[in-house]
Amino acid sequence: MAAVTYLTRLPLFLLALRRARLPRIVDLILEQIPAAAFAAIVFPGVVSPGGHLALHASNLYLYAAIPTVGVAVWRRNLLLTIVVGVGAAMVLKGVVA
Amino acid sequence: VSRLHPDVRRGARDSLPLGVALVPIAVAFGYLAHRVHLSWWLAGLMSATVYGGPSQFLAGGLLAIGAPTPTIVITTFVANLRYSLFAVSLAPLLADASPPRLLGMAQAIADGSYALTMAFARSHPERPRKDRYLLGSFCVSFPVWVGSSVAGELAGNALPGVVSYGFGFATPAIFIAFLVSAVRDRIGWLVMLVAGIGTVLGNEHLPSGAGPVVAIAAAALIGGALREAR
Repeated sequence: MAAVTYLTRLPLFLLALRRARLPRIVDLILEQIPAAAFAAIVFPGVVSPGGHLALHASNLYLYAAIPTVGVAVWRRNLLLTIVVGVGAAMVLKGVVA
Repeated sequence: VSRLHPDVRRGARDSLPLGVALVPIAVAFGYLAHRVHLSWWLAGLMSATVYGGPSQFLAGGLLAIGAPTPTIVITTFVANLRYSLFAVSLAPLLADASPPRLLGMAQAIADGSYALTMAFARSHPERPRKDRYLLGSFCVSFPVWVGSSVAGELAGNALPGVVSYGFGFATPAIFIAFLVSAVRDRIGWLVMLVAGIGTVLGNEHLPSGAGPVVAIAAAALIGGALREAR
């Protein structure tokens, strides 16, 4: 398992070694990867937290996401966003339970 | 500490909030390892070698249902393929580091450190040797991740339900913060929606682990093509 996961990170080494200028279109595609990757973590984390689609009222992460996005846009502060998000999820769970 | 390069220290300092956020996630992984009867040192070893939250939770879940070893290894590989995409997008920034250094830094690629390094590169395009910043981030994230996994396995099921439910939202919260700063125009919105909705649908309909890779690649291709056309 160690070997296969290291293997997935190896393109860093191989590509950086070539030190070649990439064609513009490749650069433009690579530029999109961060936003795409973050969305690929956030969306399922909010709408299918247990591994299965949970678009119903008892999925509290759907509500917790609202103040979290709000504070992320407003303050642009990583730690504050985490505190508000985790806090909101705990408070909601505490109120519902 | 003062003898370290300023960029290494900066990477470490910027990663402190990330380190705080990693604790509950790694503890949750340790707890999962505990439930599937992995010992504390195996939980730590898996965190050190796989070093990727989603893949580890997937592997733990597969262990729980008694999946055969080849299935677990292949699934972990596919889920970690996301790091190949990260590696490809980091490579141009790290091309001025030495080859042995690059072999080591490859293991440092994880979601949070990747996000921070990309943000640093965007705000400091003139700085050489971005690998220093990544190293600093790794020096905080790695021990926190491995240590908290071991702690989670040892603590077993001592966490109250409300707390662990709240901690479960730490990952979405971190990446909401990163996502908000990465999406800056209409093409960014489109990339986000394609990757996000694509991953959710992919998780429902594709073999486990494949959804995010397919969705990220598709979103990046569409976004890149649209920017080229403009």
